[in-house]
Amino acid sequence: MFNYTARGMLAYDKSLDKHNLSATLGTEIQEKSIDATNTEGQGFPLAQLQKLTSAAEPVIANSTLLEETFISFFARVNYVFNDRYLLSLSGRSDGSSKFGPNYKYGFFPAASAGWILSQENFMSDVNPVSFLKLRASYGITGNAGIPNYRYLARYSGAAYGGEPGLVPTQIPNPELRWEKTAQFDIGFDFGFFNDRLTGEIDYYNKQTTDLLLDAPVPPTSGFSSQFKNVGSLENKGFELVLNYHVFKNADWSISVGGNYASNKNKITGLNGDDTRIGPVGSRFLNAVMIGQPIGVFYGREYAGANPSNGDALYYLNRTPTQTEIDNNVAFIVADGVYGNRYVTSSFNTAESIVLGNPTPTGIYGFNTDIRYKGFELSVLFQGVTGNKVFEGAGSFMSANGRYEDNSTVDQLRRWQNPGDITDIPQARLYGNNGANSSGRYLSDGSYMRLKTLTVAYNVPASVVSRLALTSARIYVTGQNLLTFTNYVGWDPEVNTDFNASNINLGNDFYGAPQPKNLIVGIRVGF
Amino acid sequence: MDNDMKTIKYRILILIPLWLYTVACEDKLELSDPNNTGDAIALANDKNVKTTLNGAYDVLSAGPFYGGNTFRNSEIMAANSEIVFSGTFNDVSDIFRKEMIAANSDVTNLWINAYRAINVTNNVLSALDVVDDSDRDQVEGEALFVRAICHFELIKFFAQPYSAGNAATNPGVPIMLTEDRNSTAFVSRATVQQVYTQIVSDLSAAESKLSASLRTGKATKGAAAAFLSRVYLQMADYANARDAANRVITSANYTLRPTYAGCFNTGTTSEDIFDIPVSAVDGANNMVLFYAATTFGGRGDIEINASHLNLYEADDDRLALFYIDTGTGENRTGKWTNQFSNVKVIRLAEMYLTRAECNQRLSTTTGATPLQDVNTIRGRAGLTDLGSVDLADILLERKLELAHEGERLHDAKRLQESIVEGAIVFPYNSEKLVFPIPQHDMNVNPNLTQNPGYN
Repeated sequence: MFNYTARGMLAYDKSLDKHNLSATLGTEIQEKSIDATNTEGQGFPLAQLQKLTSAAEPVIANSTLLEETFISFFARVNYVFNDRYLLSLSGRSDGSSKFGPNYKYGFFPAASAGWILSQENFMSDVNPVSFLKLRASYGITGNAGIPNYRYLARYSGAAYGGEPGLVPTQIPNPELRWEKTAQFDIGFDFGFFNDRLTGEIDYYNKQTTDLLLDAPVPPTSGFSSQFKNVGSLENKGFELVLNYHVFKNADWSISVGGNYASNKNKITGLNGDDTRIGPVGSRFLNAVMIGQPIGVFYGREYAGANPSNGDALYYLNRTPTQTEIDNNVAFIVADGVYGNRYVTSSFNTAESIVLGNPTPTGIYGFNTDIRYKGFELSVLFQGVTGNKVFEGAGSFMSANGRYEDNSTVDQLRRWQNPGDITDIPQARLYGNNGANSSGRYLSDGSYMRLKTLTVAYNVPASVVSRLALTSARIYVTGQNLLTFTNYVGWDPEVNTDFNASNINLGNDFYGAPQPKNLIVGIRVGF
Repeated sequence: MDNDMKTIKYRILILIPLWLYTVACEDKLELSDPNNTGDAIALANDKNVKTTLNGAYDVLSAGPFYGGNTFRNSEIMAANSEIVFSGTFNDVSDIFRKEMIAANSDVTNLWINAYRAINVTNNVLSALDVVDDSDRDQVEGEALFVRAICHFELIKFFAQPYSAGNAATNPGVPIMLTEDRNSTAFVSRATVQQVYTQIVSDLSAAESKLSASLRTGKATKGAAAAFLSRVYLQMADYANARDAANRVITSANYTLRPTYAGCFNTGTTSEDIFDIPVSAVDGANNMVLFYAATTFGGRGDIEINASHLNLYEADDDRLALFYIDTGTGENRTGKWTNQFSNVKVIRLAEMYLTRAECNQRLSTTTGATPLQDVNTIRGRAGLTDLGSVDLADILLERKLELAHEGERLHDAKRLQESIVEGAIVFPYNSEKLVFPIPQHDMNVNPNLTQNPGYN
């Protein structure tokens, strides 16, 4: 592996009277290469002989070289007048080896302005306000977060019958270019009552174009996917941070703080006639659809068990044909068990619909810090709202006797006798009664979690010095002690990383839950 | 001020070389991929085109395709209560129970693999002019052979069988005859008849162009004729099927192995007309993976029921090849127990049985009488000669001789035999015996129509 970055910057700083000007001009080059070799052998004569030279059969022999270059030219000018008017302009031209011949460079300008109102004379009378700053910015950023060489036609080495071969493995995309996000921000930073209450409020609007995606293509071409700039995405939201020192004197200190961020994102356009990309594969449900959040869950809507025979039922979600009604493929379950809606036991017959958003629309946290003399108590809660999590392992462990594997507890309430009304269908050994990926394994991913709780005692200086120490602290910290959630799986704070991408969001697949930790410690300083 | 300017000058002096270097490095944004190459090189000359041709075989031989899954799918779909798939791969289990969804990953992988191999052959066919004159026919023949057998697997799984009639109107699969090198086309499904016509055309051309000399894992004149006999059988064109099988037998390039057990768990034998080479370093034998007990490196996913074993005569060598899995107590076939042995695709024995069936149906004796051919196969299995045969005898002999080798579903369909799984009867033309067009392709190609029963 070889990696270097060379950066040259020319900085200029000048203060004159009430004017303060600084400017930066620079260039940067970054080259990366990863040279990897992997060999594996089988059939070693002795446990002590562990080098490949002793292997009877080399099974894997492989080496790869990946290279990447990144070149930037950038300039920035900051101007401050009278410590209260701030202006900043910047521009950078970035070149990446990852994009098509005519699209290697992206130009990314940005501008921001700030006004510290609390410095103004007219604000000096407004006593409660100790600090107030209005700021706004607009800028374009680029994303090149894709693997190397994706715009090229590629023929890869292969082997058959002990002879080398070549196989086309990538369809070229000479038009592959930077994903760009134009972001507008406006916000206030404020401090009231001598900064006892501080905080910030922000609104942002991000418009992403040329969204990069490894998009499926018709496999009849000989390829299954291609990196493309597929469409555009919008993110809007606001963020609020508040910190308040409730009380403070020689013995006591109490402060609280909180933050909240809301986000709405949706796909605003896709190229060509596309209205939906994905889901890809049978296990996960993430899709890209116009007007929907990125990675939206799209699939069959699960209803529950058929009270008369224990079949898994899905909502039809379309008007049934007369034949489907006549053949009892689509029907309405009596007594309004599934409302007045048509259901079917045939997974293939049910229509797929949008089932939920994998990305939280709200993220919040709040903390409290209380000190009395040497004692400290601090608590941090975190949570999210508005998202759903897909339990990808449900098809294996909540699968009604499909396997001999350990099953989840909900299987105990499975359908057993005619008339049973339950959401868990009848168990059928080695069968597949409702175990396909559907809304059945999707549940509310909202949670609130006691992230950390710390109780500490700082030994008074008088005692510490007698022990020839400079400080001593005894503490107990608990992590993830409490979680409030309706999520059916193990841990709602998860995204399975083997599968994670910019659209594969909100999925669980045997994700190890975060541990509850309890740390008891004594820290002494000598 | 002067001082200031001086510093700036020095700083600029330091910056300039770096800036020049950065500008000079601009060409480094044009990186070629050291692990892969482009079509300008891959199809540039004789040697490279031949290397690309070998790549087509490599795709063909992948696990999801001729590495075994294609043949396994045929067998488990036509289980007929004679075998049971009890493995944990849910997509395979859905194929066994004939409850596939359109996103079934095994179905999708078969489709993707077949078209990927077809695309490689079309790349090769587009560059024949740079191939040495003396080898051009051979290269073309091999590419046509691979393209034909890929289309053949697709049409057998993804469309109603030829035997269901309406071949001229029933939707088949997309026919791909040109390489898709820069952009992807949205091809619609040709009819069943059009696909079979193309396969026959490709295989016939391949048979005439290919050399008869044997090369392990590669297309030969004999392999093309053997596949043609299979294609014609599906089309119930018994005269052509008989003649193709007869050409293979009379070529004298192949001989039956002295023992039945000797046909399996080996490299290429004198009986193999086409097989996929597998070694410890290259290739996959997924038949072993799924059929073999864990003691043989398999998953032990496929159990053979008594109803199948009862079809054999007591002293049949083919019966003796089954073994009991000591781990589970279940019966397994002994045809697939060596994970580093070749995947057998067509053996000479099949040609005798095809010739016998066609001669019987047509009341002809091309090459030999049906009785002679059946007794040839029976004799090798350690059985006594029959005195006479009828069609049912020949078909039973075929079923037993070729059991668990990947032909069952296609034979059942062409013979219009129902598949009976416990209380459920799947007629030969049941929608459930046809694979769904993969969801992946349905999502991206607006010109495709889905098979009935899938959404």
